[in-house]
Amino acid sequence: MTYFSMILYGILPYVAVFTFIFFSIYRYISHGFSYSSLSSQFLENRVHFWGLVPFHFGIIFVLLGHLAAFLLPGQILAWNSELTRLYILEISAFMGGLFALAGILAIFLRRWTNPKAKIVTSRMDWIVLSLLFLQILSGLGTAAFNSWGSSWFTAIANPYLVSLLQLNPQINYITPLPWIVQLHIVCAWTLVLLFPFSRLVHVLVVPNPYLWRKPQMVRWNWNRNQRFI
Amino acid sequence: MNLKIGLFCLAALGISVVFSQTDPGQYFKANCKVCHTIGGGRLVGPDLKGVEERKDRPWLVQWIMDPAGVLASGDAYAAKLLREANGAAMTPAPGINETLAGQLLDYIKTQSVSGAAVADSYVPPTFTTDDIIAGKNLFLGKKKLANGAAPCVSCHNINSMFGLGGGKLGHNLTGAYKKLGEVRGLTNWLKLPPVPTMNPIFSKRPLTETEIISLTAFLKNEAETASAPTLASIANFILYGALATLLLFVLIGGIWNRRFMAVRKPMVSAGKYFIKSTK
Repeated sequence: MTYFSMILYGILPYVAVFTFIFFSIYRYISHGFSYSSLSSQFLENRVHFWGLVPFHFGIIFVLLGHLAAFLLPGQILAWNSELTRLYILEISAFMGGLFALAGILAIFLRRWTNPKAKIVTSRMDWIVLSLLFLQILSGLGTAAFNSWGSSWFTAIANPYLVSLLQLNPQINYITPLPWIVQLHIVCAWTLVLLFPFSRLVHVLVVPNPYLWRKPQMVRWNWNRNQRFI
Repeated sequence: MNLKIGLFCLAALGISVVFSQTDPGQYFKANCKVCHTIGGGRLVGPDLKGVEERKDRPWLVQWIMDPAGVLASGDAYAAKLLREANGAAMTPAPGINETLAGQLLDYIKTQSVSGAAVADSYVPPTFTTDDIIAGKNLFLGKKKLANGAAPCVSCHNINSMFGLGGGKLGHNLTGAYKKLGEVRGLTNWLKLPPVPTMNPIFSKRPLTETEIISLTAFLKNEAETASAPTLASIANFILYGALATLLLFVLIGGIWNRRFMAVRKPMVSAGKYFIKSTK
Protein backbone atom coordinates (compact mmCIF):
# COMPACT_ATOMS: atom_id res chain seq x y z
CA MET A 1 0.00 0.00 0.00
CA THR A 2 1.81 3.10 -1.20
CA TYR A 3 1.11 6.79 -0.64
CA PHE A 4 0.22 6.98 -4.33
CA SER A 5 -2.53 4.38 -3.83
CA MET A 6 -3.78 6.31 -0.80
CA ILE A 7 -4.05 9.44 -2.93
CA LEU A 8 -5.87 7.62 -5.74
CA TYR A 9 -8.33 5.57 -3.69
CA GLY A 10 -8.44 7.28 -0.30
CA ILE A 11 -8.24 10.99 -1.11
CA LEU A 12 -9.20 11.45 -4.77
CA PRO A 13 -12.79 10.16 -4.17
CA TYR A 14 -13.42 12.81 -1.49
CA VAL A 15 -11.84 15.57 -3.57
CA ALA A 16 -13.88 14.44 -6.60
CA VAL A 17 -17.22 14.25 -4.76
CA PHE A 18 -16.63 17.52 -2.92
CA THR A 19 -15.69 19.28 -6.17
CA PHE A 20 -18.67 17.71 -7.93
CA ILE A 21 -21.18 18.93 -5.34
CA PHE A 22 -19.70 22.37 -4.67
CA PHE A 23 -18.92 23.43 -8.24
CA SER A 24 -22.10 21.92 -9.72
CA ILE A 25 -24.16 24.09 -7.35
CA TYR A 26 -21.89 27.09 -7.91
CA ARG A 27 -22.14 26.78 -11.71
CA TYR A 28 -25.91 26.36 -11.55
CA ILE A 29 -26.26 29.50 -9.44
CA SER A 30 -23.74 31.67 -11.27
CA HIS A 31 -24.03 30.37 -14.87
CA GLY A 32 -27.37 28.55 -14.89
CA PHE A 33 -27.78 28.78 -18.67
CA SER A 34 -24.47 26.98 -19.23
CA TYR A 35 -26.14 23.79 -17.97
CA SER A 36 -26.42 22.18 -21.36
CA SER A 37 -25.02 19.42 -23.53
CA LEU A 38 -24.41 22.17 -26.17
CA SER A 39 -26.02 20.14 -28.90
CA SER A 40 -24.25 20.03 -32.24
CA GLN A 41 -27.02 18.08 -33.93
CA PHE A 42 -27.88 20.90 -36.33
CA LEU A 43 -24.31 20.91 -37.63
CA GLU A 44 -24.26 17.28 -38.67
CA ASN A 45 -26.64 14.43 -37.94
CA ARG A 46 -25.75 11.31 -39.94
CA VAL A 47 -22.65 10.19 -38.02
CA HIS A 48 -24.05 11.87 -34.92
CA PHE A 49 -26.95 9.42 -34.75
CA TRP A 50 -24.59 6.40 -34.65
CA GLY A 51 -22.60 8.03 -31.87
CA LEU A 52 -25.27 9.66 -29.77
CA VAL A 53 -27.78 6.79 -29.60
CA PRO A 54 -25.47 3.80 -28.91
CA PHE A 55 -23.32 5.78 -26.49
CA HIS A 56 -26.22 6.97 -24.36
CA PHE A 57 -28.14 3.69 -24.37
CA GLY A 58 -24.98 1.72 -23.64
CA ILE A 59 -23.60 3.95 -20.90
CA ILE A 60 -26.95 4.34 -19.11
CA PHE A 61 -27.50 0.56 -19.14
CA VAL A 62 -24.00 -0.12 -17.74
CA LEU A 63 -24.27 2.65 -15.13
CA LEU A 64 -27.59 1.27 -13.92
CA GLY A 65 -25.92 -2.14 -13.66
CA HIS A 66 -23.17 -0.71 -11.43
CA LEU A 67 -25.80 1.04 -9.31
CA ALA A 68 -27.80 -2.19 -8.94
CA ALA A 69 -24.67 -4.10 -7.85
CA PHE A 70 -24.01 -1.43 -5.23
CA LEU A 71 -27.56 -1.12 -3.91
CA LEU A 72 -28.72 -4.74 -4.27
CA PRO A 73 -25.66 -6.96 -3.78
CA GLY A 74 -27.63 -9.85 -2.26
CA GLN A 75 -30.12 -9.88 -5.12
CA ILE A 76 -27.35 -9.78 -7.73
CA LEU A 77 -25.58 -12.74 -6.09
CA ALA A 78 -28.90 -14.60 -5.89
CA TRP A 79 -29.48 -13.97 -9.61
CA ASN A 80 -25.94 -15.11 -10.40
CA SER A 81 -26.31 -18.33 -8.39
CA GLU A 82 -27.46 -19.97 -11.64
CA LEU A 83 -24.65 -19.95 -14.17
CA THR A 84 -26.94 -19.37 -17.16
CA ARG A 85 -28.33 -16.24 -15.50
CA LEU A 86 -24.81 -15.07 -14.62
CA TYR A 87 -23.74 -15.47 -18.25
CA ILE A 88 -26.83 -13.61 -19.53
CA LEU A 89 -26.16 -10.72 -17.16
CA GLU A 90 -22.46 -10.53 -18.01
CA ILE A 91 -22.99 -10.74 -21.78
CA SER A 92 -25.72 -8.09 -21.56
CA ALA A 93 -23.43 -5.77 -19.60
CA PHE A 94 -20.59 -6.43 -22.06
CA MET A 95 -22.96 -5.68 -24.92
CA GLY A 96 -23.87 -2.37 -23.22
CA GLY A 97 -20.17 -1.56 -22.96
CA LEU A 98 -19.50 -2.43 -26.61
CA PHE A 99 -22.49 -0.32 -27.62
CA ALA A 100 -21.10 2.62 -25.66
CA LEU A 101 -17.62 2.02 -27.14
CA ALA A 102 -18.95 2.06 -30.69
CA GLY A 103 -20.84 5.24 -29.82
CA ILE A 104 -17.88 7.06 -28.35
CA LEU A 105 -15.72 6.09 -31.34
CA ALA A 106 -18.33 7.55 -33.68
CA ILE A 107 -18.47 10.71 -31.55
CA PHE A 108 -14.68 10.98 -31.66
CA LEU A 109 -14.61 10.43 -35.39
CA ARG A 110 -17.31 13.00 -36.05
CA ARG A 111 -15.79 15.68 -33.87
CA TRP A 112 -12.38 15.09 -35.41
CA THR A 113 -13.35 14.86 -39.08
CA ASN A 114 -16.31 17.25 -39.35
CA PRO A 115 -14.98 20.83 -39.44
CA LYS A 116 -18.21 22.33 -38.05
CA ALA A 117 -18.30 19.91 -35.14
CA LYS A 118 -14.55 20.25 -34.56
CA ILE A 119 -14.67 24.01 -34.22
CA VAL A 120 -17.23 23.83 -31.40
CA THR A 121 -15.23 21.16 -29.53
CA SER A 122 -13.36 22.55 -26.55
CA ARG A 123 -10.22 21.21 -24.87
CA MET A 124 -12.36 19.99 -21.97
CA ASP A 125 -14.56 18.08 -24.47
CA TRP A 126 -11.50 16.23 -25.75
CA ILE A 127 -10.34 15.45 -22.22
CA VAL A 128 -13.77 14.16 -21.19
CA LEU A 129 -14.13 12.14 -24.40
CA SER A 130 -10.68 10.59 -23.88
CA LEU A 131 -11.49 9.75 -20.28
CA LEU A 132 -14.83 8.22 -21.25
CA PHE A 133 -13.08 6.19 -23.95
CA LEU A 134 -10.53 4.91 -21.41
CA GLN A 135 -13.30 4.26 -18.90
CA ILE A 136 -15.31 2.17 -21.35
CA LEU A 137 -12.27 0.32 -22.70
CA SER A 138 -10.97 -0.55 -19.22
CA GLY A 139 -14.48 -1.64 -18.22
CA LEU A 140 -14.67 -3.96 -21.22
CA GLY A 141 -11.19 -5.30 -20.45
CA THR A 142 -12.22 -5.94 -16.87
CA ALA A 143 -15.39 -7.72 -17.96
CA ALA A 144 -13.58 -9.94 -20.45
CA PHE A 145 -10.30 -10.72 -18.68
CA ASN A 146 -11.21 -10.37 -15.00
CA SER A 147 -14.69 -11.88 -14.94
CA TRP A 148 -17.21 -12.14 -13.30
CA GLY A 149 -17.44 -8.52 -12.25
CA SER A 150 -21.13 -8.54 -11.43
CA SER A 151 -20.38 -11.02 -8.63
CA TRP A 152 -17.02 -9.82 -7.32
CA PHE A 153 -18.16 -6.19 -7.39
CA THR A 154 -20.39 -7.09 -4.43
CA ALA A 155 -17.42 -8.49 -2.49
CA ILE A 156 -14.73 -5.96 -3.42
CA ALA A 157 -16.12 -2.68 -4.74
CA ASN A 158 -19.14 -2.61 -2.41
CA PRO A 159 -17.21 -2.68 0.88
CA TYR A 160 -14.74 -0.15 -0.56
CA LEU A 161 -17.52 2.26 -1.52
CA VAL A 162 -19.27 1.74 1.82
CA SER A 163 -15.98 2.45 3.63
CA LEU A 164 -15.74 5.73 1.70
CA LEU A 165 -19.25 6.65 2.80
CA GLN A 166 -18.28 5.86 6.39
CA LEU A 167 -15.26 8.19 6.02
CA ASN A 168 -12.97 5.24 6.71
CA PRO A 169 -11.52 4.40 3.27
CA GLN A 170 -10.36 0.79 3.11
CA ILE A 171 -8.18 0.90 0.05
CA ASN A 172 -6.78 -2.58 0.68
CA TYR A 173 -9.81 -3.90 -1.23
CA ILE A 174 -8.61 -2.10 -4.35
CA THR A 175 -4.80 -2.06 -4.29
CA PRO A 176 -4.31 -5.78 -5.08
CA LEU A 177 -6.62 -5.65 -8.11
CA PRO A 178 -5.22 -5.89 -11.67
CA TRP A 179 -4.08 -2.60 -13.23
CA ILE A 180 -6.98 -2.51 -15.69
CA VAL A 181 -9.53 -2.57 -12.86
CA GLN A 182 -7.61 0.15 -11.02
CA LEU A 183 -7.51 2.26 -14.19
CA HIS A 184 -11.29 1.87 -14.44
CA ILE A 185 -11.73 3.14 -10.88
CA VAL A 186 -9.32 6.07 -11.24
CA CYS A 187 -10.97 7.16 -14.51
CA ALA A 188 -14.36 7.05 -12.79
CA TRP A 189 -13.25 9.33 -9.94
CA THR A 190 -11.53 11.69 -12.42
CA LEU A 191 -14.75 11.96 -14.44
CA VAL A 192 -16.65 12.81 -11.24
CA LEU A 193 -13.99 15.46 -10.56
CA LEU A 194 -14.28 17.04 -14.00
CA PHE A 195 -18.06 16.72 -14.17
CA PRO A 196 -18.99 20.29 -13.12
CA PHE A 197 -16.44 21.85 -15.50
CA SER A 198 -17.62 20.01 -18.59
CA ARG A 199 -20.75 19.54 -20.67
CA LEU A 200 -21.42 16.42 -18.57
CA VAL A 201 -23.52 18.73 -16.37
CA HIS A 202 -26.39 18.14 -18.80
CA VAL A 203 -26.90 14.82 -16.96
CA LEU A 204 -28.21 16.83 -13.99
CA VAL A 205 -30.80 18.70 -16.05
CA VAL A 206 -32.29 16.04 -18.28
CA PRO A 207 -36.05 16.64 -18.34
CA ASN A 208 -36.75 14.43 -15.35
CA PRO A 209 -39.99 16.31 -14.42
CA TYR A 210 -41.57 14.76 -17.53
CA LEU A 211 -41.92 11.65 -15.39
CA TRP A 212 -44.08 13.24 -12.70
CA ARG A 213 -45.49 16.53 -14.06
CA LYS A 214 -49.28 16.92 -14.42
CA PRO A 215 -50.76 15.66 -17.68
CA GLN A 216 -51.24 18.36 -20.34
CA MET A 217 -54.46 18.81 -22.25
CA VAL A 218 -53.99 19.21 -25.98
CA ARG A 219 -56.71 21.00 -28.00
CA TRP A 220 -56.96 20.47 -31.74
CA ASN A 221 -58.54 23.12 -33.98
CA TRP A 222 -59.78 20.79 -36.68
CA ASN A 223 -61.96 17.75 -36.97
CA ARG A 224 -59.73 14.89 -35.84
CA ASN A 225 -62.05 12.31 -37.38
CA GLN A 226 -60.88 13.33 -40.83
CA ARG A 227 -57.81 11.54 -42.13
CA PHE A 228 -55.21 13.70 -43.87
CA ILE A 229 -53.04 11.05 -45.43
CA MET B 1 -13.56 20.07 4.56
CA ASN B 2 -14.27 16.59 3.18
CA LEU B 3 -10.63 16.34 2.18
CA LYS B 4 -9.54 17.10 5.73
CA ILE B 5 -11.94 14.50 7.12
CA GLY B 6 -10.68 12.00 4.55
CA LEU B 7 -7.03 12.73 5.46
CA PHE B 8 -7.82 12.47 9.16
CA CYS B 9 -9.55 9.13 8.65
CA LEU B 10 -6.64 7.84 6.59
CA ALA B 11 -4.19 8.84 9.29
CA ALA B 12 -6.41 7.24 11.96
CA LEU B 13 -6.66 4.07 9.91
CA GLY B 14 -2.90 3.92 9.43
CA ILE B 15 -2.26 4.44 13.14
CA SER B 16 -4.82 1.79 14.12
CA VAL B 17 -3.27 -0.73 11.70
CA VAL B 18 0.22 -0.15 13.09
CA PHE B 19 -0.92 -0.40 16.71
CA SER B 20 -3.09 -3.45 16.16
CA GLN B 21 -0.23 -5.41 14.57
CA THR B 22 2.76 -4.69 16.76
CA ASP B 23 2.35 -7.77 18.98
CA PRO B 24 4.36 -10.39 17.04
CA GLY B 25 2.37 -13.31 18.52
CA GLN B 26 -0.92 -11.80 17.42
CA TYR B 27 0.59 -10.83 14.09
CA PHE B 28 1.85 -14.38 13.50
CA LYS B 29 -1.59 -15.84 14.26
CA ALA B 30 -3.33 -13.31 12.03
CA ASN B 31 -0.98 -13.38 9.06
CA CYS B 32 1.46 -16.30 9.07
CA LYS B 33 -0.37 -19.22 10.68
CA VAL B 34 -2.47 -20.07 7.62
CA CYS B 35 0.66 -21.22 5.77
CA HIS B 36 3.23 -21.97 8.50
CA THR B 37 3.53 -23.86 11.77
CA ILE B 38 6.29 -23.68 14.35
CA GLY B 39 7.07 -27.33 14.96
CA GLY B 40 3.76 -28.60 13.61
CA GLY B 41 4.99 -29.71 10.20
CA ARG B 42 4.69 -28.30 6.71
CA LEU B 43 1.50 -26.56 5.50
CA VAL B 44 1.64 -24.50 2.29
CA GLY B 45 4.95 -23.08 3.46
CA PRO B 46 7.71 -24.72 5.48
CA ASP B 47 7.67 -25.45 9.22
CA LEU B 48 9.39 -22.45 10.78
CA LYS B 49 10.83 -24.29 13.78
CA GLY B 50 14.51 -23.35 13.99
CA VAL B 51 14.31 -21.31 10.81
CA GLU B 52 17.37 -19.28 11.79
CA GLU B 53 19.45 -22.45 11.77
CA ARG B 54 18.67 -22.80 8.07
CA LYS B 55 19.18 -19.18 6.98
CA ASP B 56 20.71 -16.07 8.55
CA ARG B 57 18.59 -13.28 10.04
CA PRO B 58 19.35 -10.46 7.51
CA TRP B 59 18.24 -12.75 4.67
CA LEU B 60 15.11 -13.78 6.56
CA VAL B 61 14.18 -10.16 7.35
CA GLN B 62 14.58 -9.27 3.69
CA TRP B 63 12.51 -12.31 2.67
CA ILE B 64 9.67 -11.46 5.07
CA MET B 65 9.62 -7.85 3.93
CA ASP B 66 9.85 -8.36 0.19
CA PRO B 67 9.49 -11.99 -0.95
CA ALA B 68 8.76 -11.01 -4.55
CA GLY B 69 11.86 -8.83 -4.69
CA VAL B 70 14.11 -11.61 -3.31
CA LEU B 71 12.64 -14.07 -5.82
CA ALA B 72 13.09 -11.60 -8.66
CA SER B 73 16.75 -11.12 -7.71
CA GLY B 74 17.33 -14.77 -8.67
CA ASP B 75 18.17 -15.91 -5.14
CA ALA B 76 18.73 -19.69 -5.24
CA TYR B 77 17.34 -20.42 -1.74
CA ALA B 78 14.16 -18.41 -2.46
CA ALA B 79 13.71 -20.36 -5.71
CA LYS B 80 14.12 -23.62 -3.76
CA LEU B 81 11.40 -22.52 -1.29
CA LEU B 82 9.09 -21.72 -4.19
CA ARG B 83 9.66 -25.14 -5.74
CA GLU B 84 9.00 -26.87 -2.41
CA ALA B 85 5.74 -24.92 -2.08
CA ASN B 86 4.58 -26.19 -5.52
CA GLY B 87 4.83 -22.69 -6.94
CA ALA B 88 2.72 -21.02 -4.21
CA ALA B 89 4.69 -17.81 -3.71
CA MET B 90 5.09 -16.29 -0.26
CA THR B 91 2.58 -13.44 0.02
CA PRO B 92 3.66 -9.96 1.18
CA ALA B 93 3.06 -9.47 4.89
CA PRO B 94 0.62 -6.59 5.46
CA GLY B 95 2.03 -3.57 7.32
CA ILE B 96 5.43 -5.23 7.78
CA ASN B 97 8.57 -3.27 8.63
CA GLU B 98 12.10 -4.21 9.62
CA THR B 99 11.44 -3.98 13.38
CA LEU B 100 8.33 -6.14 13.17
CA ALA B 101 10.13 -8.70 10.99
CA GLY B 102 12.85 -8.94 13.65
CA GLN B 103 10.23 -9.31 16.40
CA LEU B 104 8.54 -12.07 14.40
CA LEU B 105 11.83 -13.95 14.16
CA ASP B 106 12.31 -13.54 17.94
CA TYR B 107 8.81 -14.94 18.46
CA ILE B 108 9.52 -17.91 16.17
CA LYS B 109 12.78 -18.55 18.03
CA THR B 110 10.97 -18.61 21.39
CA GLN B 111 8.20 -20.82 20.07
CA SER B 112 10.69 -23.16 18.40
CA VAL B 113 11.88 -24.25 21.84
CA SER B 114 8.37 -25.11 23.05
CA GLY B 115 6.79 -26.06 19.69
CA ALA B 116 5.34 -29.56 19.86
CA ALA B 117 5.71 -31.88 16.90
CA VAL B 118 2.05 -32.37 16.03
CA ALA B 119 2.58 -33.14 12.36
CA ASP B 120 2.70 -36.85 12.86
CA SER B 121 -0.49 -36.86 14.91
CA TYR B 122 -2.53 -35.08 12.21
CA VAL B 123 -5.33 -37.26 10.86
CA PRO B 124 -6.90 -35.91 7.66
CA PRO B 125 -10.69 -36.01 7.46
CA THR B 126 -12.34 -38.51 5.14
CA PHE B 127 -14.57 -37.02 2.48
CA THR B 128 -17.91 -38.37 1.30
CA THR B 129 -19.69 -37.82 -2.02
CA ASP B 130 -22.06 -35.49 -0.18
CA ASP B 131 -19.09 -33.35 0.86
CA ILE B 132 -17.99 -33.07 -2.78
CA ILE B 133 -21.50 -32.11 -3.94
CA ALA B 134 -21.86 -29.60 -1.10
CA GLY B 135 -18.46 -28.14 -2.02
CA LYS B 136 -19.46 -27.82 -5.67
CA ASN B 137 -22.68 -26.02 -4.71
CA LEU B 138 -20.73 -23.62 -2.50
CA PHE B 139 -18.15 -23.05 -5.23
CA LEU B 140 -20.81 -22.24 -7.84
CA GLY B 141 -22.93 -20.15 -5.48
CA LYS B 142 -25.95 -22.47 -5.64
CA LYS B 143 -25.66 -22.59 -1.86
CA LYS B 144 -24.90 -19.28 -0.12
CA LEU B 145 -21.81 -19.02 2.05
CA ALA B 146 -22.96 -18.73 5.67
CA ASN B 147 -21.18 -15.44 6.40
CA GLY B 148 -22.20 -13.79 3.16
CA ALA B 149 -18.98 -13.81 1.12
CA ALA B 150 -19.32 -14.03 -2.67
CA PRO B 151 -18.98 -17.60 -4.03
CA CYS B 152 -15.64 -18.85 -5.44
CA VAL B 153 -16.95 -18.83 -9.02
CA SER B 154 -17.11 -15.01 -8.89
CA CYS B 155 -13.33 -14.89 -9.30
CA HIS B 156 -12.14 -18.45 -9.97
CA ASN B 157 -12.43 -20.97 -12.73
CA ILE B 158 -12.04 -24.76 -12.67
CA ASN B 159 -11.38 -26.97 -15.69
CA SER B 160 -14.51 -29.09 -15.31
CA MET B 161 -16.83 -26.10 -15.84
CA PHE B 162 -18.62 -25.90 -19.16
CA GLY B 163 -19.99 -22.85 -20.95
CA LEU B 164 -18.10 -19.67 -20.24
CA GLY B 165 -16.47 -21.12 -17.13
CA GLY B 166 -15.84 -19.42 -13.82
CA GLY B 167 -14.31 -16.04 -13.00
CA LYS B 168 -10.89 -14.97 -14.23
CA LEU B 169 -9.98 -12.36 -11.61
CA GLY B 170 -8.26 -15.01 -9.49
CA HIS B 171 -6.36 -18.19 -10.30
CA ASN B 172 -7.82 -21.32 -11.84
CA LEU B 173 -8.35 -23.54 -8.79
CA THR B 174 -8.08 -26.91 -10.54
CA GLY B 175 -4.58 -27.43 -9.13
CA ALA B 176 -5.13 -25.54 -5.86
CA TYR B 177 -5.48 -28.72 -3.80
CA LYS B 178 -1.95 -29.89 -4.53
CA LYS B 179 -0.41 -26.43 -4.67
CA LEU B 180 -1.76 -25.41 -1.27
CA GLY B 181 -0.57 -28.43 0.68
CA GLU B 182 -3.38 -30.95 0.08
CA VAL B 183 -5.93 -31.56 2.86
CA ARG B 184 -4.02 -30.15 5.80
CA GLY B 185 -2.55 -27.17 3.98
CA LEU B 186 -5.72 -26.27 2.10
CA THR B 187 -8.09 -26.56 5.08
CA ASN B 188 -5.78 -24.31 7.07
CA TRP B 189 -5.29 -21.90 4.16
CA LEU B 190 -9.04 -21.51 3.65
CA LYS B 191 -9.47 -20.31 7.25
CA LEU B 192 -8.08 -16.95 6.17
CA PRO B 193 -6.66 -16.90 2.63
CA PRO B 194 -3.47 -14.80 2.75
CA VAL B 195 -3.95 -13.53 -0.82
CA PRO B 196 -4.21 -9.70 -0.77
CA THR B 197 -7.44 -9.73 -2.82
CA MET B 198 -9.14 -12.34 -0.61
CA ASN B 199 -7.82 -11.39 2.80
CA PRO B 200 -9.96 -8.26 3.38
CA ILE B 201 -13.08 -10.16 2.31
CA PHE B 202 -12.62 -13.35 4.31
CA SER B 203 -11.27 -11.63 7.42
CA LYS B 204 -14.76 -10.14 7.78
CA ARG B 205 -16.77 -12.99 6.28
CA PRO B 206 -14.84 -16.18 7.09
CA LEU B 207 -15.76 -19.63 5.81
CA THR B 208 -17.24 -21.99 8.40
CA GLU B 209 -15.52 -25.28 9.32
CA THR B 210 -18.16 -27.25 7.39
CA GLU B 211 -17.73 -25.05 4.32
CA ILE B 212 -13.95 -25.50 4.47
CA ILE B 213 -14.32 -29.29 4.60
CA SER B 214 -16.81 -29.30 1.70
CA LEU B 215 -14.69 -27.00 -0.47
CA THR B 216 -11.55 -29.00 0.25
CA ALA B 217 -13.39 -32.20 -0.71
CA PHE B 218 -14.57 -30.59 -3.94
CA LEU B 219 -11.15 -29.18 -4.85
CA LYS B 220 -9.49 -32.53 -4.06
CA ASN B 221 -11.94 -34.28 -6.36
CA GLU B 222 -11.38 -31.57 -8.97
CA ALA B 223 -7.59 -32.02 -8.85
CA GLU B 224 -7.94 -35.78 -9.23
CA THR B 225 -10.55 -35.89 -12.00
CA ALA B 226 -10.55 -32.69 -14.07
CA SER B 227 -9.00 -32.54 -17.51
CA ALA B 228 -7.83 -29.58 -19.56
CA PRO B 229 -10.29 -26.68 -20.11
CA THR B 230 -12.80 -27.56 -22.81
CA LEU B 231 -13.57 -24.09 -24.18
CA ALA B 232 -11.67 -20.90 -24.84
CA SER B 233 -14.18 -19.09 -22.63
CA ILE B 234 -12.77 -15.54 -22.86
CA ALA B 235 -12.86 -15.62 -26.68
CA ASN B 236 -16.40 -17.03 -26.59
CA PHE B 237 -17.53 -14.37 -24.14
CA ILE B 238 -16.21 -11.59 -26.39
CA LEU B 239 -17.77 -13.26 -29.43
CA TYR B 240 -21.22 -13.56 -27.83
CA GLY B 241 -21.04 -9.94 -26.65
CA ALA B 242 -20.05 -8.74 -30.12
CA LEU B 243 -22.88 -10.72 -31.76
CA ALA B 244 -25.42 -9.29 -29.30
CA THR B 245 -24.12 -5.77 -30.00
CA LEU B 246 -24.42 -6.31 -33.75
CA LEU B 247 -28.03 -7.43 -33.32
CA LEU B 248 -28.74 -4.33 -31.27
CA PHE B 249 -27.31 -2.12 -34.01
CA VAL B 250 -29.56 -3.80 -36.58
CA LEU B 251 -32.48 -3.24 -34.20
CA ILE B 252 -31.89 0.50 -33.72
CA GLY B 253 -31.22 0.89 -37.44
CA GLY B 254 -34.65 -0.67 -38.03
CA ILE B 255 -36.47 1.35 -35.38
CA TRP B 256 -35.10 4.69 -36.59
CA ASN B 257 -34.79 3.93 -40.31
CA ARG B 258 -37.18 6.79 -41.18
CA ARG B 259 -35.24 9.33 -39.12
CA PHE B 260 -33.97 11.30 -42.11
CA MET B 261 -37.40 11.65 -43.68
CA ALA B 262 -38.21 15.31 -44.25
CA VAL B 263 -40.53 16.97 -41.76
CA ARG B 264 -41.88 19.81 -43.91
CA LYS B 265 -42.91 17.83 -46.98
CA PRO B 266 -45.42 15.49 -45.31
CA MET B 267 -46.87 18.44 -43.38
CA VAL B 268 -47.43 20.46 -46.55
CA SER B 269 -49.09 17.45 -48.23
CA ALA B 270 -51.28 16.94 -45.20
CA GLY B 271 -52.24 20.63 -45.22
CA LYS B 272 -53.13 20.54 -48.91
CA TYR B 273 -55.30 17.45 -48.33
CA PHE B 274 -56.97 19.18 -45.38
CA ILE B 275 -57.75 22.33 -47.38
CA LYS B 276 -59.12 20.28 -50.28
CA SER B 277 -61.31 18.13 -48.06
CA THR B 278 -62.85 21.10 -46.24
CA LYS B 279 -63.83 22.98 -49.45
